[in-house]
Amino acid sequence: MPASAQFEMQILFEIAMSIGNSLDLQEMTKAGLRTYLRKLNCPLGVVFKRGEDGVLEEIVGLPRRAGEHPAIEQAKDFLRVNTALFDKVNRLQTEEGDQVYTMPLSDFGILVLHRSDRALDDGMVASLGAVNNKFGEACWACERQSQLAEAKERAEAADRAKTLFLANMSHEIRTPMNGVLGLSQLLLTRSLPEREHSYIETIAGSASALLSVIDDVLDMARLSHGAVDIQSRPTPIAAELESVVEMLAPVALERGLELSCRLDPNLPSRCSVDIHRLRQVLIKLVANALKFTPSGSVVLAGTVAWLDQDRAGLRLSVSDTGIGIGPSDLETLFEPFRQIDNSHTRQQQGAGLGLAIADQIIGLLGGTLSVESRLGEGSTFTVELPVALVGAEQPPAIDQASEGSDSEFAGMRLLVVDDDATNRFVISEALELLEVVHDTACSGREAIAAVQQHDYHLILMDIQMPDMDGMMATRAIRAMDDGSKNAVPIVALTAHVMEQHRYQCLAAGMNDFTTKPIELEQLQAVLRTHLGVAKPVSTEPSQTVADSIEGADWAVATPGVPLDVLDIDQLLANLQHVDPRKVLQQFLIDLKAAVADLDEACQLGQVAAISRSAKGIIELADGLAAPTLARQARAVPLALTAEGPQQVVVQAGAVMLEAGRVTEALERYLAAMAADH
Amino acid sequence: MVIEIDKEGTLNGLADAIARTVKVERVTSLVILVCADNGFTPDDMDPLLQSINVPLMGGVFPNLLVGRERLTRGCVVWGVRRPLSVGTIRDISHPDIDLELAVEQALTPATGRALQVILVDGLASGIGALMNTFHEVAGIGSDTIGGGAGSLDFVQRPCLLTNEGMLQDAAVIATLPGHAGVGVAHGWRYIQGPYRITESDQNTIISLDWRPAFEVYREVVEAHSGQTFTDDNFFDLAKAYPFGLARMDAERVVRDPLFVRDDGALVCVGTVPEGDHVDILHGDTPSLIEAAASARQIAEQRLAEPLATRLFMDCISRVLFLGDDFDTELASVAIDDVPLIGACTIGEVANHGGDYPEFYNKTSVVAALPLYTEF
Repeated sequence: MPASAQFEMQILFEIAMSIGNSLDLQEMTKAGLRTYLRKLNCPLGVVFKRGEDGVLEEIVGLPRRAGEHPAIEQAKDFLRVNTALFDKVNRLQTEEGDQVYTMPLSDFGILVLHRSDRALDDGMVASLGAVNNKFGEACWACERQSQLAEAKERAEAADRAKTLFLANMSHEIRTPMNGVLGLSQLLLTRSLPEREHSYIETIAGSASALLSVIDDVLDMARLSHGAVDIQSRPTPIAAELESVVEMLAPVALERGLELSCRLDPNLPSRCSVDIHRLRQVLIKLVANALKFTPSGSVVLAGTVAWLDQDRAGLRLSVSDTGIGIGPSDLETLFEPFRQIDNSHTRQQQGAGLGLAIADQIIGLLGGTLSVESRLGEGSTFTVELPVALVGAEQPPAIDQASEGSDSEFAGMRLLVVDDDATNRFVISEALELLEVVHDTACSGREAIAAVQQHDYHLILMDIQMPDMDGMMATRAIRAMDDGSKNAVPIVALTAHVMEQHRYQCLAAGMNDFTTKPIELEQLQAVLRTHLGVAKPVSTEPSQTVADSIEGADWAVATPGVPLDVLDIDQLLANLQHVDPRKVLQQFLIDLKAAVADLDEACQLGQVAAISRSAKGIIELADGLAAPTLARQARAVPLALTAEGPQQVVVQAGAVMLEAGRVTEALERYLAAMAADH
Repeated sequence: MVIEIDKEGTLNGLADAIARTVKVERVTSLVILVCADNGFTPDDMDPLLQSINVPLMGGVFPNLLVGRERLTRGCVVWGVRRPLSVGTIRDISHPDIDLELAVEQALTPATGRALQVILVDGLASGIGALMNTFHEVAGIGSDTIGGGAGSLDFVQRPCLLTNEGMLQDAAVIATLPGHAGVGVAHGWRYIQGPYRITESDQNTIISLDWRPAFEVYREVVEAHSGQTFTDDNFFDLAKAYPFGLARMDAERVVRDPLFVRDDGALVCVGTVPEGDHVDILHGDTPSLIEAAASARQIAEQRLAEPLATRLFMDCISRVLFLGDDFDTELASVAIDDVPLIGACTIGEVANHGGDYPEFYNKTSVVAALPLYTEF
């Protein structure tokens, strides 16, 4: 190969190798253009994209404002007039005798190079064609990447909006449903003429069915977002299985079916499992079996598939003598948004999401869900679930106050806090039925006032209220000096059903969380749980942090985390019985997002947005027990009123700095927990 | 042209030269060139530099050039009668520096044709990125001359002179209104190559054609020179065998290997981009001297005006290579009584507006300044 040809090859290779090393259009074209200029010894060049109307759009020029240089203007004018030459290499000469080249970059656009004095060798120009095409294709690749990134961002934004919409709709639907379902259930306890009783039953049944559909749709949404958290706790599994059967026995009776529970005597007395989720699945499976069994029986069976020192494999099956499922339907049975294509589904109510939800939940629990079925011969759904074994616990203390009374809740006093009059009325009526003495409050402030005046055994607290919300009220109650008041069990009673609300409630200091509309049995269960274990309202010392963490000791040594940055003990106390890892990870994500919002608001100088972001950070800091961060964030709105917008930005900077310390402390704590557990 | 010289290389001598210069009518700014062997430290220099109340730029160089004389000790103070706009860029090699912003802030936009003088820490690793950014921000409307400051022991230390004091890992840019002619040439010729730079880190070639860089370099140089690299003769031998980066229709951009690392990587003056190819070059006395003369001729042709002064930035490695013959090279540029000042540098900067600006090594750069501009 002649030396000059080799030299040209070398230069072409170097230019080619500098192209396509980034998927950012600006960065990629700049790096490529710089190599063109350096290697071809050109002082000036511009990459243009050709629009659909033929208009040239500058992507990048070197040096800056190269696009305004007379030589480049001359090239653009030339192409405007000679559109047919767009796809050719053109060499123009300026008045000063310099050379200007226009070179097509595939079908993306053109490259314009300005070269002083000497023209490029014709052979070199021809050889550049392949490199130019590569440059053009790389530009398209960047454009496509950018479009994909934008589409992804739009899709994610739409997804976030959908989740928010679901959360809001859930609240909006559940609040009036609380009235419909609660009042109809109360009416059913009264003596009504048969026809009216039948009407009310239909109303209650329809409301219940509607609620079930809403729950399925929301569950599916949560599962598809990975927003379902698993919270295992020691559970008497046999009793729970029996309770599922007891719960659905009236349905079986109504349909003339036999429903039974067969339990292996070797079932562990207590195991660690998220019983809320497992019950959800078993209820779905048994209800489905009842639904698709015209005659015969349904059996919920529990056996031990395997057992070792501290773990066991539960095999829970639901068998029926129903219509069975055909082979083609079995293949898609657990797929979301697929319904069995026969008349059965349409004869029955429901959104057809139940099995998909059940399958995903069991997957989250670490188990599997399978089915065996033949048309006309019934079906067996089997849950294989590994669980950790836990030792027997002390039975809950018997409340002396209830002894010798007709009502199991005699001697107890409750406070119901809800801004919605209908909700207050429904719960009050239910409590009357259960013979529970109670007061009501319309807001967080009223609740605090009531707690200051009376000693309560339990507070049912709504979350979203004007004036002062349930979480703020809970924090205020927990902050009271009087040990008989600050330790009162508080149960969130809310139409919010998203997982993050559960975290927020627990972080605010509540003991439990239940969703509206609450049914009578559910309310009774809540009262039994919390009044059964609640200490009598007395001067007994409040629980210690270690006492309050049940099932696992999450307290780990995390040296170097100052109390003012992150009060670990207080944080664990806030979280009560919950495995803190996922909660803290969520906090971490939320805190970073909130700080990013604050940073953006500062950069844009949007004072209102800064205040909003700071408010979000206050809530997170309170939940996290990060006192300095909370103090700094509270100072943001104060700075606005006291010192004006400029100081707000300064204060926001201090918040971001402290948030960084909290983030670091949290990450260190999570790492320590991961190492310890 | 106002030029004061101190050949003693003492701080008092420099202070006196500065005092004499600023007293001259219409002198509004200073360019101060200092020999490295003077041994000036920031402790010595900073109070003096900070006391000067006119804009100044300058550097510490291995040698200085005045007329046909090469100074190894001493100082040159050039009193500039045009308003000199000086900007400083610190920490040019810091990975987090926003060079675009730094160059924008340091550079005074020229309203018409201008001469940009750039002095940079010659041992800084960020020079390549600085030159690219300078081209991007400054555009092509100006002529450029300058060089790398530092000393021949290749220890990086404060070597740039500013009103704030001495700086290290920095660059100083001054803009003088008016035009000049700039010529560049080196005279080094191809002997072997090309070799692809398969791994590099800024100014260090780690591998050539996927082999340790020194292994490849050693084979070629030992075969060509008939000498052998030993533990202590690397630079003595390497000074005659620089690398050349290819450019179309222009002399190769020379890269001077300074020393070899334990891992066989070669540390050069100036950036060596990964993916580029290098040739190994060699020169002889006549070709180098001819190139210096050529640089002067090109500069004066491009000036196309009556000549008032020559600025000459010539690589110190040419002095080391040419030995006594360097006097001939200097005489080939200082051909008459036209005043000449300059420095023997660690890398050279040049552009006449028609080329892509580069940081050169082992190269002669001449700027021809016109009479009417009264520099």
